[in-house]
Amino acid sequence: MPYRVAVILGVLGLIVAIVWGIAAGLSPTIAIVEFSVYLGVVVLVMARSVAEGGLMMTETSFRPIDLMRLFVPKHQLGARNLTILGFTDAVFTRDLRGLLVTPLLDSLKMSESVRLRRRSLLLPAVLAMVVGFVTAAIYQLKLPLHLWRFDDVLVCL
Amino acid sequence: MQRLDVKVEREQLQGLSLQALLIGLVFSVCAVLIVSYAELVVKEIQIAICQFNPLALGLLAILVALNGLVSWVLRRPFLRPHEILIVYTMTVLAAMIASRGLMEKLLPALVAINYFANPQNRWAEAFFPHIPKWLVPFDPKGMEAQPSAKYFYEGSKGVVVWGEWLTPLLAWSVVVAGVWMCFLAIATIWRRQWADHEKLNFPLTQPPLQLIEPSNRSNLLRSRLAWTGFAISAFVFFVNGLNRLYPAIPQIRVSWTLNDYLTDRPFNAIFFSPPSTLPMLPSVSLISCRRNSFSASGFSSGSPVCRTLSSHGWATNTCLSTCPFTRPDFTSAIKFWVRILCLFGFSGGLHCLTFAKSSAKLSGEARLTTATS
Repeated sequence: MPYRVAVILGVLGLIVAIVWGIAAGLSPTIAIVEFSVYLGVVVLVMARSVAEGGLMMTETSFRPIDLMRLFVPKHQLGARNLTILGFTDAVFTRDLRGLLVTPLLDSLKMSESVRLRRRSLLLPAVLAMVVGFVTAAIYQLKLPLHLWRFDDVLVCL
Repeated sequence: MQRLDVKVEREQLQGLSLQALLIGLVFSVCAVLIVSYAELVVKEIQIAICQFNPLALGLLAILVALNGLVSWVLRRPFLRPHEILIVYTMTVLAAMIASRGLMEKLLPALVAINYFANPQNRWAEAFFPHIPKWLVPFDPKGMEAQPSAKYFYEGSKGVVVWGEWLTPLLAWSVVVAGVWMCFLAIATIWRRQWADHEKLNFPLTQPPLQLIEPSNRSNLLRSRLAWTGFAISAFVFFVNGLNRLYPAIPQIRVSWTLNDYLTDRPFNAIFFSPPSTLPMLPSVSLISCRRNSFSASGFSSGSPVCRTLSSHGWATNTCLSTCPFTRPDFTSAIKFWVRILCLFGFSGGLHCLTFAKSSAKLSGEARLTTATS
């Protein structure tokens, strides 16, 4: 996508995430720090490590809350902030092994070798994200864990 | 003239095709099903938790083989390399989303707090009042272990309370969409800098490219070394897989736990250390850059040594706290980096001071020389 669109999309995405965090109960400062540090520092460092060094597994080095703890004791953040951070940390920042930026970057790089127009990757990527989210949610909820057998999978299908 | 060249080059680039998109969708759904089953049901192998995705590579190999077969039957190329890349991109993204990329972390996080709450830990009292109703599939004003949480962990014979899950999933999809929009933007913005200007290697692109590009593929398929490496790794994994299913079949041991042998002081102070002799590691270190392989081996062997020294009193706790790889403590790591930054700041400041002084001295001398002349 064009640079200008990418910048707008990035800013818009960050605003959506921050506003969502505030609606969920984070204080505005904590929401800004949480998502800005995650998307602006942690994700970028991990993506660079994969692109340059070929890291096969991007394990978390630190979370935004570890950065906050340098300046404010954790308990002073308040029960509400800590509760919601428990959710966002579990979902986004604590385990970075499935970071989606790196396969996107890799595919963009590979597109040069196979002479694919880079913009042609946008629609497939978005479709795969939507399909992946919906299918995985339905499938992983439909078959409760200890009941899962291959027969159940076939029945479910 | 240059503009004309660029235009011609752009026209030669291939675009998106409908068949690639449809096959990509099928492969994405397959990837989600396989990942979920392997990681949550079989649980013996985690095939999509990392950036170097074994499942996506395996499906890519199957796709390439099927494509060869169909092309042979049709007597014309069915999927061209750029279309295979589109299918691979969709597969790898869907596989990672089903795994640690999102879903394996999101669903348990929404119900664990309710399922594991009990009167002893008083989570209901401590956390529930701060959780909005739309964020989770249970009622924060209700009791511990509500049906949605209980069904998730204990099974419900396939009955899902969709009404309770729909709102939180929709709510979370908003923030997930925001974060993924940023991912798309980051990939677009930084690709040019990293790929075009800095010429970074992107080492993880090499294995899929070997399979996607016909010329590389024929070289790979003819390489005896590649087949030997593949055969050794596959044999070890196959035998050990059979051993898991049928314990009567002997296991090929590839990992030892040092802690079993080092049981006395000071050596028992080492953190959990299981050195492995996985046959895939040489090939992994081949595609990874040399600095990474060196750092990985250095840090993993440095950690037990530091711990042993510390337990024997040869290193102080202060010394260890500056060493981030000796303990899984994020605060220590952050403090370490802040100290390093301060150190560099201090030494950099001294350098600047020295530079300023020498510049002032030189300009003074120059002024004196001018005045004298």
